[in-house]
Amino acid sequence: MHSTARLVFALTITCLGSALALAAIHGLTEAPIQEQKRLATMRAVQEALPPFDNDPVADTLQIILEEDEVGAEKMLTVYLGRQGNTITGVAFPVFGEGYGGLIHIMVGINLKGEMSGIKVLEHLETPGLGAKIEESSFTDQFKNRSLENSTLVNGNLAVKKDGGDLDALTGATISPRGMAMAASAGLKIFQRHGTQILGAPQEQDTTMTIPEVGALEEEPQKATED
Amino acid sequence: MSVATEFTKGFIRENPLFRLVLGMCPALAVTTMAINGVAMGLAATAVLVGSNLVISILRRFIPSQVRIPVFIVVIASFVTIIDMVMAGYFYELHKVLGLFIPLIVVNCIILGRAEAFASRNPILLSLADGLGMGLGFTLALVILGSVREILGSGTIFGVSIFASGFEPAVIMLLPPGAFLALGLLLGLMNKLTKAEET
Amino acid sequence: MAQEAPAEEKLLHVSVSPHLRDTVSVPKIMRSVILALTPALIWAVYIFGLRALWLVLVGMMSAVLTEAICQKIMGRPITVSDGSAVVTGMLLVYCLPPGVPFWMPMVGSAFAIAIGKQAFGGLGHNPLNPALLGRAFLLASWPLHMTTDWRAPAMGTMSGIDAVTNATPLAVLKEAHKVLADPVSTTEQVVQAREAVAQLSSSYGNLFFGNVGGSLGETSALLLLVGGLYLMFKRYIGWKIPLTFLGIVMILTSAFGGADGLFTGDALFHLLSGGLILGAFFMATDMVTTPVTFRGRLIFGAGCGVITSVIRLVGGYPEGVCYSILLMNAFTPLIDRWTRPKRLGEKGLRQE
Repeated sequence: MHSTARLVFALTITCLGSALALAAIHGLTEAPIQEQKRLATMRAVQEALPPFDNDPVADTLQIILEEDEVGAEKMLTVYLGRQGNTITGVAFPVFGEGYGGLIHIMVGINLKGEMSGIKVLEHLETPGLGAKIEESSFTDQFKNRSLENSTLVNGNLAVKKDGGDLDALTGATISPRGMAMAASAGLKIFQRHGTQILGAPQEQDTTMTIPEVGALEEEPQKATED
Repeated sequence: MSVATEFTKGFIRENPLFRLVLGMCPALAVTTMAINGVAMGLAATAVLVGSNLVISILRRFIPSQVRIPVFIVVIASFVTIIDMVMAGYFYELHKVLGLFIPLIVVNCIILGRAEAFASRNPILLSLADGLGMGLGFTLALVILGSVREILGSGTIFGVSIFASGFEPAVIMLLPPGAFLALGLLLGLMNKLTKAEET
Repeated sequence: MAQEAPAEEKLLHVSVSPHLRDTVSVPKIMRSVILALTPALIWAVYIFGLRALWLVLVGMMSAVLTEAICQKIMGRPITVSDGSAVVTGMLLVYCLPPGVPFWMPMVGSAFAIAIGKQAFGGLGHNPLNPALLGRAFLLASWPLHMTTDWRAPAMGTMSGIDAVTNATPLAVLKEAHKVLADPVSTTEQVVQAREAVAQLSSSYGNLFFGNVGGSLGETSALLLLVGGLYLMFKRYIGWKIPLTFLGIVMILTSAFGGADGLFTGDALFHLLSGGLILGAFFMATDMVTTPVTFRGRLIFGAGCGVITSVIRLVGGYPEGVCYSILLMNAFTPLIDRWTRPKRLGEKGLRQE
C-alpha cells in the first residue's frame, strides 16, 4: 500500500509541476501568439485589399452564408478596408478544391465587384507544379477580374482549357481550377452579400441587424477605427 | 566518462539519425529545406536538454514502476512549451513545421536518452549528452535538408546557387526524395566511418 | 530456361542445379533484345527526326558509363560488355517523350543503373525494372517535361486524329471521358468529347502503324509486335505474361472503359495505344524482376493488366503501364513463394 501511494504521489507531483510550468509559459506567450496571428492575417489582407488607411483586421463583419453557397466558411469573417470612413473594398477567406486538398485564399474585392488582389493562405499542391499558384505571375491575372468582365463557364471563372479565360500553369490544371473555383466563390459571395457588407456601420460599437433572408441576428460589430 | 566525450559522441560516433537511425519521422517529413532542418533540430535539442536536465535531477525520486509516465509528462511539457514559444516568436517556421513540433513528444531520441542516459547519470553529464545528441540530430537534419533543398529547389537556405538553366528535381521535395537522400547519406556515412575504423 | 541465364553467370562455379548448361548467355540475349528493339528505333527516327537517335544514344552511353563507374567504385568486375546496361538505357529512352532535353535520358539512365540496379547488387539482384524505375524517377522529378514534351509525328497529328492535335491519344480519351462524366459540362463540350472519342475509335490504323504522338519508342504497335514475336520465337521471353497482360487490359477496358455503361469500351484502342505493347513484351518480361513459375507468370501478367486498366480508366495519369509493372515487380518474390511448385513425390503439403 505504501509503495502504491508513493507511485501516485510521484506522478501527481510531476503532473502538478508540469501543469504549473505550462500555465506560466502560456501566460507569457499568449499575447505574442495572438499578435503573430493578427500580423499574419494583416499581411494577407494587405495583399488582397485596395489601398486603405484603417486597420482591417480589427474592422471586421461577420456574415452568415446560405446553404447553397460554397467555397467559404458558413460564418464568414469579412475584413473591411476603408479610406477615411468610406469602405474601399473587402477581403475574406475562401477555398477551392485543388490537387492535394483544399486551397485557401484571401480574396480582396473592390466596390465595383472586381478582385483587387488574392493571396494564397494554405495549400497542399505539388511543389514545382501546382504550388506555382502562389507566385504572383499566376495570381496577378485575377486582379481586376469580375463576374462581368470574365468569360464564365457554368457561372464560374475558368481556365482556358475548360473554356474560360484564365491562364493555367504548364503541367498543372487542377490547382488553377481550384483557384478559379475559390475566386469565383469569393465574387459570388460579394455579389449576393455586397449590399449587406457595404452597409456595415462606420461608427464604433454599433449594433445592426442583417436584412438577409434566413440570416439570424448578428453579433454586435466592433469596428475599431483609428 | 567525461563531459567532453558525452557531448561529442552525438555528432558522429552515435549520431541519432545516421548511426542510431532514430527520429526518422521528423527527419523525413520536414527536411525539404535546410532552414526547416535547423528549426526542427533546435526545437528537439531544446526539448532534449530540458528533459534530460529535469529527469537527471529527479532520477532518485522517480519510482522505477512509473518512470515512463513521468518521463513522458516531462517531455510533453517541454514540447508544449517549445510549441507555444515558437508560435509566439517564430510564427512562419512554426507554421511550416506544423504538426511535427507536437510530434517531438514521440521522437524516440528523447525518450531514449531519458531512459538510457539521464535517468542513470548526474546532471552535468546528462546535460552534455542531451546537448550533444540534439546538436548531432540538428546537424544530420541540416545535411539532409541541404541535400534536398539544393537538388529539389536549387537553393540553399533560400539562396539560389545555380544558374537559371538548372531545373530542380521535384522528387527531392517529395517523400521518395527524402528516403533516397537519407539512404544515400547513410551509405556515405557508413563508407566514411568504415574507412576510419580500418 | 532463359530466365536462369543471368543467375547462371553468377553461379558458374557453384555446383547446384541447373546442371544442364545452355549456350545461351547474357550478352547473347541482350543482343537479341537490342535487335528486337531496333525497328521501333528506326521508326522513331523516321517520325520524330534524328533527335530520337541521339536521345537513345545518350541514354545508352550514360547507362553504360554509370554501370562502369559503379562497379569500379564497388571494386567489382566491370561487366558493361554484357549489354544489359545498353538495353536498360534504350528501354528508358523508349518511354520518354521525344522532345525532352538531352540531360534527361542522361540523368534517368544514371539513376536507373546506380539506384535501380547497382545499389541492389547488380544484374540479377534488382527487385524492380531499372528502366521503368528511371522513368518513374524522371516523371516525379521533372513532371513538366515528362507530360508536355510531346512531338507530333512527321506526317500526322499527335493524337492520330484531327479533332485534337495537342495531346496523345490516351490523354485525349481521358479528357473526353472527364467531360462526359462531369454533370456540369455544356452541351457543346459533350458534343466535342463524343466527336473526339468517335474519331479515336476510327484511328486504329494510325495507332497500329505508329502514326501518332507518344513516347519515343512506343508509337508503332506493329514494329514492337514484330520485335516481341522475334524474342518469343527465340524463346527469350514467354507468352504467359504478355498474353495475360494484354488480355486482361482488353477485357477490363472493354467492360468498364466506355462512357455509356458496361461493355461499351474500346478494347482495341486501349491495346494499340500508349506503351502497352512495349511494356508487355519488353518490360513485363524482364527475366530478373518477374516470377519464374508458370502460375506466377499468369498472376504477374494479370496483375499488370488490372493495375494498368485501373490507372487508365480511373487514375490521375492517362497511362499506367509503367507503374503497373513496377508494382507487380515488387510483388514478384511473394508470387514466386506462393506459387512454388510441389517437389516430386510431395503430397498435399503445400502449406508451409
